Amino acid sequence: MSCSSATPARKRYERRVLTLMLVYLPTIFLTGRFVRHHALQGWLLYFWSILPAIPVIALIAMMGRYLQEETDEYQRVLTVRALLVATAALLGTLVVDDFLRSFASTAIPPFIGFTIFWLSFAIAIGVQTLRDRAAIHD
Amino acid sequence: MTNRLRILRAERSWSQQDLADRLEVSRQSVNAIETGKYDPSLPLAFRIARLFALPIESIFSDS
Repeated sequence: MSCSSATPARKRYERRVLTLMLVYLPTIFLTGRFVRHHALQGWLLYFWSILPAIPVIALIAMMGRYLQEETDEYQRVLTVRALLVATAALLGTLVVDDFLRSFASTAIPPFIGFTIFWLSFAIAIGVQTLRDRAAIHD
Repeated sequence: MTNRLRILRAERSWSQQDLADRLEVSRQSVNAIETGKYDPSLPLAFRIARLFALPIESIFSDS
């Protein structure tokens, strides 16, 4: 294993995420153009609306693949803990959104749930890494 | 669970990174085990024991 803190599985995961982002960006751009400039209806509208979700869903699948490939069990535990924190934050957001819809006839803006999920994940990973760094003894 | 990993490592003048490389885990993992933040799985505990040529119970104890 190299001296870098990232494990080989983590490096592969990061490469895959980067590739997916390179697919996602033109997809969201094309979708925006098609939906705005063409009066799409029916299955074509559904197709273009759902298209950008595919690389995002693949992102979640890549996380699953990373967890399968990661041979460093502690890194796996850190990732699973962060995923639990992110899932809790997402569920909390969805519950708030549901009550807002039910009683206030309003809703949280689109994509907030997804943003909150990955933001919470990143914060949880960061906090654990800082905590471990503070405790390093050599 | 407590362990003697840091002592055993120091006896061999290994850094955490040296031990991590030998165990094929990250330095963060070695640090977490040494500081008692993380208890290794049985397979990893066996790998550690084999590396130091010691029985598991002489490295890890549940006291």
